[in-house]
Amino acid sequence: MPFVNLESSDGDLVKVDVDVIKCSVTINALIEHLGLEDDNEVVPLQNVGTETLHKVLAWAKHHKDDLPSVDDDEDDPPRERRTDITTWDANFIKMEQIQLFDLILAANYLDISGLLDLGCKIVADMIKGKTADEIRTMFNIVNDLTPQEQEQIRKENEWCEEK
Amino acid sequence: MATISLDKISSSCETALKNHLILSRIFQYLDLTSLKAVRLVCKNWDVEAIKKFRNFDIIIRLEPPFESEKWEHLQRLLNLRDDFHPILFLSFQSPAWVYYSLISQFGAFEFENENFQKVWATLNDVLNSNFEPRQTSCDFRVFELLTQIGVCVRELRLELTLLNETDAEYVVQLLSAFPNLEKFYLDIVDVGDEGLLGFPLITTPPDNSTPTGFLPPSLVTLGLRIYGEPDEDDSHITEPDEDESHITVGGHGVSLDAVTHFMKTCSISNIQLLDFEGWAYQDLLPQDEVEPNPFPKLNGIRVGWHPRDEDEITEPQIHNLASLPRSMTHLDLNAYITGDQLHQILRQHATILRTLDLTYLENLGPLNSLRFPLLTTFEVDICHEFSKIRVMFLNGPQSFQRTFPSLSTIGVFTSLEKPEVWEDIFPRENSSGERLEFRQIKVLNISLKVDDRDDDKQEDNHCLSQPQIIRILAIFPSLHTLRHIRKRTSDGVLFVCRHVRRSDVVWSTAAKTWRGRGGQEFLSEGKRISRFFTPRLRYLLMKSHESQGFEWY
Repeated sequence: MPFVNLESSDGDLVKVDVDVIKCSVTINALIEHLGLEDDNEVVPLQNVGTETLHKVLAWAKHHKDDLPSVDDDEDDPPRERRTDITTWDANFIKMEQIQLFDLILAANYLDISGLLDLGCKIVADMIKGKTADEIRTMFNIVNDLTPQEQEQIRKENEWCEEK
Repeated sequence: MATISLDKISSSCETALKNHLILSRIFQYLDLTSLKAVRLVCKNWDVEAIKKFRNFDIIIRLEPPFESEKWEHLQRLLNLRDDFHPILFLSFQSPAWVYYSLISQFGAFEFENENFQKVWATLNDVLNSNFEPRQTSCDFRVFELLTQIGVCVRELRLELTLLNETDAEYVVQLLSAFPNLEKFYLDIVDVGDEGLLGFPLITTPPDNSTPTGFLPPSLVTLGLRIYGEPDEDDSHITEPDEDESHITVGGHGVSLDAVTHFMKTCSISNIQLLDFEGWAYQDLLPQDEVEPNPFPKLNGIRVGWHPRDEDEITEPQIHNLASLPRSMTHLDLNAYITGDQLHQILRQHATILRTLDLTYLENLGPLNSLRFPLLTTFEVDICHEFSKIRVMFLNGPQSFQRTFPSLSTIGVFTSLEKPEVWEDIFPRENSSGERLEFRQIKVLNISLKVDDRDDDKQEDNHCLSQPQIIRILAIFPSLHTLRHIRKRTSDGVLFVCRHVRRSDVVWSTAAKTWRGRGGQEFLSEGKRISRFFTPRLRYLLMKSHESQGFEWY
């Protein structure tokens, strides 16, 4: 079965090479569990819109032949996870914030580790160097911490510095 | 990097940022400063961010004055998560803190900057003349506060003088507040017989047979480090040559009896790693077969012998290391020893050695005459004699493979900046002109320093030139990680730069680099320096890859 039909939450069908989408743990599992055997069968993706799905597939196609990641190498400590982004990925991820978070949610739902990492790196870059106020404004987050709690956290933070 | 419009706030944004898995993944890429900021965004983010604190080597500095209201916040922080065990650094008025704060103020300086050396020497003079040892009167308020947080602490770094009985009592009392310590580093500023003999040997009923010392039994790593050279007017120094019952420890004269007693009080059966920096003492570990092995689980030892010019490392000292009750898997020899002495020591440990760290080597000949079947990491610190490293490679990859079949990580550190020294260290061909390729090496950590240039801002952040990468890969074709030093031209700050191989052709630079405060180790001729935070180039590099779960510093 070289191809599979993916149905977006908008009801659109997108035919894709199984090899391309093998990076998605979720789709692999659905194909297996649904027992799909021919090219006409459909895998429903209720949480992924058509536009986002095309983005996901573009990323998956480009990374189809990637070597296994070296992130899990024992020489690569978790806290030093690579924050580098290739030129292609950097261009790919240039999109509006709404699309970026749609893509992150899709990557999370489809369980595509590389794409999720890419999106999270971008969001992390957006956060770096900003104050809590700026971050709240950027993502429209409501501050539910009381002034006392904020003061407490500030004082706790004062104790910590990196070795 | 992506340029993303920030004006559209979507429901997908809200959904994503409330998802713990996604939030956790985002926070994974934040540095500590950013994590502190996101804690203040909202309650949900605070909960997720604090979980990531455990990924950092967080050091908490406790310095006088000790204010109880501040400690309440620390106590709450420590209780937030069971798996958050920061390093607690206690300091009691020693010159090291003054040094450290000054170093951090400089922030940037050249490796071989004469002006800095002059400033540094002046500071030494001023600080040493003003140094007042810690007041030894016990501050009971401190102990009360320590007891509150001590159970949460797994690693303690303490710097103190051990000059008299009061000092010893103080340490014993301090340690009693930390029952769950796993790592304890005692950096000793000054030492005397009374201080060493002041530690009690406690006999525990009912068997009364095995006296124990002052350390918590949970301890796995113990560092007893003493630094510095003696002052000319050091009144309690005794010339070792004049009296065999006395030895020099870190430049301070003490009696053998006192040292032997102190070492007995440090015997903890759980200890696996010992750091004996500065103890030029032949009986670090008793060889007497009558007495039980004080460290039956010991598998790593670090020694730092820094004899004065007229002294030499003695044969008994070498013999002691060469005939430990069991072979070591980790050895760090920071000492001026000859090739024969090195051979004598390594012969005992070569078969099970996994990491080997050498400094001040006379020659590396002994390495080629032994076999190290399990050695995975070899690191060496050299000054000038680069040919001594070179000789390791000249016999070719087959011979190298026979000697070091498991070796995959090499670290070479030197304070010299000239890039051409690396051509001396890693030969591209042997004397017959045959190309040399060492495919078994996967990780290379070197102090090769590269200046940032304008064209470094190219895609994928390459800072090494293509010829540099090509040359290194020609010798180590299977390399997947290369760490070196990068200097930012604008302010001179040094970074560790880590390159990771992504495919056969693409190397990328880790954007997160570890920033260091300095360059080379500064030697002050005849002047006493407490080097608790040695601004060493090597330390910079080691910091960037200590994930192997094994570290001396």
